[in-house]
Amino acid sequence: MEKIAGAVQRCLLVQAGEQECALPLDRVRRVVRALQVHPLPGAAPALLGLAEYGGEPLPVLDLARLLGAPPTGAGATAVTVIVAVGPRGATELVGLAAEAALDIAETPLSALPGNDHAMVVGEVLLAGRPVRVLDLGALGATA
Amino acid sequence: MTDGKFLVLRRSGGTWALPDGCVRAVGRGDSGLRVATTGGVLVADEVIGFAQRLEVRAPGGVLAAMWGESCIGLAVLAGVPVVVIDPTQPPFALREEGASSHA
Repeated sequence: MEKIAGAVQRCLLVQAGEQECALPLDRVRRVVRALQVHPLPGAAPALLGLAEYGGEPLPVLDLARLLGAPPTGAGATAVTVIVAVGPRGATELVGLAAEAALDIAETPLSALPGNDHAMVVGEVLLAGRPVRVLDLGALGATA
Repeated sequence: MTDGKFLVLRRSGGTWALPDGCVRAVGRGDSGLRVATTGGVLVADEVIGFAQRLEVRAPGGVLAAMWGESCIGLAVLAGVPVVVIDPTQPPFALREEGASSHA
């Protein structure tokens, strides 16, 4: 795990298409093998459909599509990351379909350059690789 | 938990439920099954059966933002997610006019 000076947050690093993303760890509930998703006709392309998780219905989003990241071309995503999205106190669970869960890392809490998307705080370099840090609180509000 | 029976359907790869009290008749049509309801006619690929009880959850903000249809809520039946619909505001995929675009 890399150490970064200043206020930091611990994040789960995931591969979403060709993009590496950091999900705040306090929002991550579990990482599971890709859940079986049932399509929802008429949904936005990033909404893959609904799955069952813990006996509850769960919307599953394609993280790469959500962020406009180029797909890897490998096809199916391998993991579903169960996260709490939306403003604190009014969160809901969703699944984020991704290629892989990679590592735990620390990222700065402060504003970062490269926040070109409503749910992207910005971009940092971790081990020389660009990583987009996500704000999952913004997802429920702006999806 | 929502008491009362639900008619459970399959259409366009999804599983849908509607309150049984809204159902008037089920018959065969040109583009699948026709379900006459108090809110109009719906189309279905298959009628799965009836669910005696469903634990219906509010759809949530993400679904509301990313699916341009209305529904009563979501539930799970035998491990399969189910969209509980209001027959007066059915999703396009279940409407008769949506049948022509159904793959």
